[in-house]
Amino acid sequence: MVLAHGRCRLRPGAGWSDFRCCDPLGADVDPGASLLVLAGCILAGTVGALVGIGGGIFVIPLLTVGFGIDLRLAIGASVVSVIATSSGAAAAYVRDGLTNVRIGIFLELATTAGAVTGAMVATSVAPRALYLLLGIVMLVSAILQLPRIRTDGAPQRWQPAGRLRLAGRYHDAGRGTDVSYVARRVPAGFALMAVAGAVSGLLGIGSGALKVLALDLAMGLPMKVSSATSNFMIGVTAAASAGIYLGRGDIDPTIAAPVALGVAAGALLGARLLPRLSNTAVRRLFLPILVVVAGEMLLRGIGGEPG
Amino acid sequence: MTEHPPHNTSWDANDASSATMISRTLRLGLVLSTTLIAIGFALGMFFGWERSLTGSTAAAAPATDVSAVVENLLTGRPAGVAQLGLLALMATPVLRLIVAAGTFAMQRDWIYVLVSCAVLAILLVSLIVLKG
Repeated sequence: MVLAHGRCRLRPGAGWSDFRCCDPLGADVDPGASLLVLAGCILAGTVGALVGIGGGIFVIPLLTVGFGIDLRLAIGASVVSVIATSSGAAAAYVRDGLTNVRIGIFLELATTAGAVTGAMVATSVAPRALYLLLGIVMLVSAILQLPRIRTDGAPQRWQPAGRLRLAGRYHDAGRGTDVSYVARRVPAGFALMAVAGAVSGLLGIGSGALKVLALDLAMGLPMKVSSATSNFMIGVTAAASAGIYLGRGDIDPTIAAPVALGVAAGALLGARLLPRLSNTAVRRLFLPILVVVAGEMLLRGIGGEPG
Repeated sequence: MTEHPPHNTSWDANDASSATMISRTLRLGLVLSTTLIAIGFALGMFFGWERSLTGSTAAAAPATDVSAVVENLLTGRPAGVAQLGLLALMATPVLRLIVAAGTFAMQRDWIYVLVSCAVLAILLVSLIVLKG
């Protein structure tokens, strides 16, 4: 049920399947539904924090399919959820040295520039073709990931880090050792990040999965560092578009507030788990999510579904 | 997993203090924003999101910018408190970039001061370009 201008609220209908969109101004929102949204978002925040994505792939279907909320407002709430995941998880990851701040900020150049470019050309690009292309790219990446699942941070040959110092070291609590790494194939990683940014700008999605791929597959960082650094970066990409969604009135506090609270709680939980997991475990979690995202993209490309 | 990490010790010490500052910024932003959102959420669920707790009869403003949020706050609406928290949440990544630029400056890492400022500049451009 989509309303062009009306506001969409969480209200009880006859039964669970009947929470629906309606627009009486100032109507009270059903507290039960709000609490359910909050609870559901805890899981989204936890998984998002673990694999370095914003959780929009869980939050948007939860709101639209589960509660019949207008897609526009669901996307607005998902932008908020990305920032909540990022701030909640990255605070711990930066402190623990899992996030590589230099690599993150350097690549934010590519993602933010890509996002501006993407948003500017958004009207002249066919979204369906783009969804198809992205779906295929992600499926291929998922296949490329398969043989890498067991590589728990493959030993790197020593190489100079260069002037940009895109290197680092983290303490792996799961293994009890320090792991040093140097970013490889930096131009390829930078280009992929620009594509990830452009996709965010074009389609209004977070593209956390693409960021993790750029860090892990292209630049060869340990999976936990990739996830933690992507988590750090997605907040800035989302902040770039949050202002626009706010200006359009897409960020309704009655929906965004429970989403933000649930996701933040989940992200704090996920951030406590990640240091103890092995790189292999994080990959095992990331791979099926990548396949789901790829499938969603392909479906949108074929079916031309809105959003 | 090199035998000899390619950094010297002072580099690591600088990075640790810089990481602490960035981490604290993110935590502060998160705590501040989620506290406000939680208060707004609790009040909204209890009293109704747009009921004025100070008895104002003016219609609630749909928040599309900062002034609408201020208006909702001044008329004592729970939605206004949650909106203020959401604004603080959205500002956190930007604040984190500014703090990062500052810590790089303290380390005299001018390349990264430039990189951080460039990202900030692109963010500002995006706000202008995408709005117009």
